[in-house]
Amino acid sequence: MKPYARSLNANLAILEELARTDLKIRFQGSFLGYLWTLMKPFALFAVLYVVFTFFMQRGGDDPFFSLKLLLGIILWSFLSDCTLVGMNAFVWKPHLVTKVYVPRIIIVMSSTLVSFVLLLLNLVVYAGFHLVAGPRPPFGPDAFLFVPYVVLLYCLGFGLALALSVILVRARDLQHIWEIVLQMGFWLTPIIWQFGNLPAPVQTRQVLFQRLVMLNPMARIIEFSRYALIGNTNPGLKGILVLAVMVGMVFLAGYLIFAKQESHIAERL
Amino acid sequence: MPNGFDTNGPAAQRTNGPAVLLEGVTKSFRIPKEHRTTLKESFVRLFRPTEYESFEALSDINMSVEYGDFFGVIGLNGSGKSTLLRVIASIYEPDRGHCEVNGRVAPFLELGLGFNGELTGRENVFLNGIIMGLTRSEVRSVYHEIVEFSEIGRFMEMKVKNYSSGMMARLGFAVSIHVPAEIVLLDEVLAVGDVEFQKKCFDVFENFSRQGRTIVFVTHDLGSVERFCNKTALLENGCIVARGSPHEVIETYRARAL
Repeated sequence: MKPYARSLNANLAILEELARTDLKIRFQGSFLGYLWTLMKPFALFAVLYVVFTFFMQRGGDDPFFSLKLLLGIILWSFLSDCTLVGMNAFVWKPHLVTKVYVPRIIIVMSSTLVSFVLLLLNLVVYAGFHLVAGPRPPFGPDAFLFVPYVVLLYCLGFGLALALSVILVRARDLQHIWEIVLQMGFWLTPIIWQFGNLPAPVQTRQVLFQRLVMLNPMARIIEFSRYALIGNTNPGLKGILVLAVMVGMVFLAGYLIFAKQESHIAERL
Repeated sequence: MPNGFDTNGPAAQRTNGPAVLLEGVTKSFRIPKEHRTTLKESFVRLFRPTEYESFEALSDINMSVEYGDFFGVIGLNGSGKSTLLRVIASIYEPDRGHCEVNGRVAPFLELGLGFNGELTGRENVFLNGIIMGLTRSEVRSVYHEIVEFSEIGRFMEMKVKNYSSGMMARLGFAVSIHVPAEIVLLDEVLAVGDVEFQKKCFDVFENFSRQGRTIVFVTHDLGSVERFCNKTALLENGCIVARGSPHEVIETYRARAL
């Protein structure tokens, strides 16, 4: 018998308690609390919106450019936050590894759940903008597809966090490397530039370009979410399946790396 | 001892085997041979992998702890006592051999539990109580006993990072003994407490023995080993070199150490 083999209920209770304390620690001692985390994506949105529509006139004739930009930033912010917080789960909370036994996957998962809660809160604010500035009627029948996209987004973030968390314990440089990867990813994903407003030279090779960009699951999640919420359309079953397979592969790889290293975390911290 | 739980554990939770069984448990750590301190050093040797030396903290340990045992583990610093406890607590996974633990475990390892410095004492009691298998309402029902036992009630709303080591040990120990675990692991509980706290620990130990709880007890305080333990093992360089009644083992320890 594995020591501490516990019931699912007990593990869920631990997960809930850890997520709750993480959330508490994140906001404690600040007056505006959760408003600050809201501020980050929205400030980024405001500055990019001003620069790209007024200075560079890149918004083009898309009436929903700003909504698409906001949605893209919110979804990307989740990935960034989730992987950074999840990656540091053991490094920031060594006591949960070296002093007591908590199934290690729960420690990473609770951190990523906090990011997920923040994503949901950001989406509530997005919904407000959407109702004011969005299409009429605000949501069509394809909008429900956004739910599976968000689920896939979480799986992607969690899978990456699992792998990153155990590697970070061995190589602390990963923190910096991953921040650079995230920064590059932000510009290589159609968040600010969108397929509708590319300059002419790129547009002549649109198909090839789009294929390349769509190898990035984040590009798919963001584009598909825009289809669902703003364009009221869908990429077809094939497109969604390809995304699901991509996310599944990332998650599986992340889990396998985690499972292989898991037993050595305590001595490496 | 005040305790909201039947700490003997329901009979159904006990199997016929021992509470803790270690068979051929070996655990080694890798320690780097060369120390890279400067950037240049690590750059020059970038493509040469660091050489590691293997240090066997536990080698081929076989032992069993029966239900109701008060099992003392003694030995010099670095003999593997804490590693042994961590293997039992499943914090370390053995490289070879296997470790079987039949029952819930309450660990108290080196000055405390999984305390998060950013949380208050009260929040940490709840967090650790839940980690050790209580529900929120169960923690609530023993909360006052825990605080009373630790005698640091005034500081429960203070962040734990501002606690002294004595306060931390008191609170950690109080939580460990109030969760309904069949097996309690104690590493150096007596090390930081004052005389009065040690007296309190001894009262608890006496109660444990009476209740027939299973304890694995690591300490340098040979007097308390002789007083409370019914079995003792002596570790030396990761091996058990003597085991049996506390009196004999302590004699062996004294003879070998001097």
